[in-house]
Amino acid sequence: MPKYIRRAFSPLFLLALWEVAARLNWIDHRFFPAPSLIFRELWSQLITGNLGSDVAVSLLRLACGLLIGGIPAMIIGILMARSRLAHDLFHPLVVAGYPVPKIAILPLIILMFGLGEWSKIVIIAAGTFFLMALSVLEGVSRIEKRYFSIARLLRLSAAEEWRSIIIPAAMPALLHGLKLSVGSGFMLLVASEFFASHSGIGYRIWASWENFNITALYGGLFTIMLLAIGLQAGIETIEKRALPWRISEEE
Amino acid sequence: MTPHLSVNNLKKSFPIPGKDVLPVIDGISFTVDKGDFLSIMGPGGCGKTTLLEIIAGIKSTDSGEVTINGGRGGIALVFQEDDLFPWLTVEENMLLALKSAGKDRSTARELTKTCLANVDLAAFAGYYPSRLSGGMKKRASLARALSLEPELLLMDEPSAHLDEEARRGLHQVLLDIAHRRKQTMILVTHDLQEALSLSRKVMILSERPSRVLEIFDPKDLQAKNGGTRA
Repeated sequence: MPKYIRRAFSPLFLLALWEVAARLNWIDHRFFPAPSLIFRELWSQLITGNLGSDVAVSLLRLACGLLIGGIPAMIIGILMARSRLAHDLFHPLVVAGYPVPKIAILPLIILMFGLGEWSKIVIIAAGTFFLMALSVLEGVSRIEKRYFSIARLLRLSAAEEWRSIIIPAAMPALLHGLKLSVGSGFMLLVASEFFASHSGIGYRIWASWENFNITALYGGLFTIMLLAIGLQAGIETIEKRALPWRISEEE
Repeated sequence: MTPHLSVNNLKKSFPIPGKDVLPVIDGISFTVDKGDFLSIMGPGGCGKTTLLEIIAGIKSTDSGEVTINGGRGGIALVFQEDDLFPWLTVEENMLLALKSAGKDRSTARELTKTCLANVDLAAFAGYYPSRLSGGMKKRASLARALSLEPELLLMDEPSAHLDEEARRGLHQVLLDIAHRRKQTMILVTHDLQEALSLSRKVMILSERPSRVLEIFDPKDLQAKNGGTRA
């Protein structure tokens, strides 16, 4: 059986069960509207353009947050792994900042950056930074010493050592960190859009709750799930292209 | 004749956390002439790999001297573990080494092709190391080392994890380069039969801290026993 059919089986089965249960009145319609109604709601939002603009706004915020948090995290993660000085300077801060629930600092970030776009981007960047920095640190620290011995023996220049060893060896950890960051980014995105927004998927979910439009609320949740699946699939595609040697190892 | 490699009273210790130091090599001296094939044998942990790494310039010595005709530029080392970069194909691994050695692209490609053909891996140039068997990886490492046209080739138990067939294939390649190219080589091995059948000189080290117990020519040993070369 093809992989995509196997993977689609359990969600489709659950949706079918839910649909049957709703139609046969086994479950309370107020809290569990039939999936067909939820998809109809999503379709109408898509036709009016609301869904598209909410998704676009949310994805833009997510992408900005991932980039702004991810790029410095990558640099600091590699530096911490390669330099004792950088490790001593940054590691205590990263380790101390990582377990703080980022949602707890949202009020502070709103206070500092206001209710506009920046507060949402900054909270996602903060969540991404700590996850990515630690993932990259772990990945680069695990590069086997013998590769550096070989580099020394082959008299690779410092630039070649970075290009031929450190960056390719850090790529799996980097992409793993990115996957985790997308998940955490979605959580922070939706939470920040609840409080301080007039657009985005989080705002749409919150507005549906305020109007007790549970079908639209589920529509928002389904949208997040579909986007998460799409993004993870996108990262896996990048992984396959960027890390053909890993695919080769798995085979 | 001046020896190609001269190791004189080499000593090496390693620091042990919370303790003193662990002496590993305790005054080793030997020479290797051009075209020689020396095998080094000794108990586990006696510093054979460390000795190779010191000769290659990867590790420093505490005292003693390593003198190499023409300097360390002409040394290649085949490590005991897989030493090809797993994220590069076999060909890319070789091109990286050759580029770093200052070869232009077309010469590097030509050398890559020839050396892979010499170890019977011409068809596997585009493969990632993870898709090769243990023996093929070792031959690819050897091809990379040979493509650099080294003055001195060091090998650290290249046949350690190979099955019998792969080991025979590797031995054939080593004998070929020893006879055809007159390649100067040092091989660290645990296998006496391998040392006797491949090399012209065998050096036996003592337990840690290691000293040279004996250096002999396998032909002399076979003559003494009235046998023939394996």
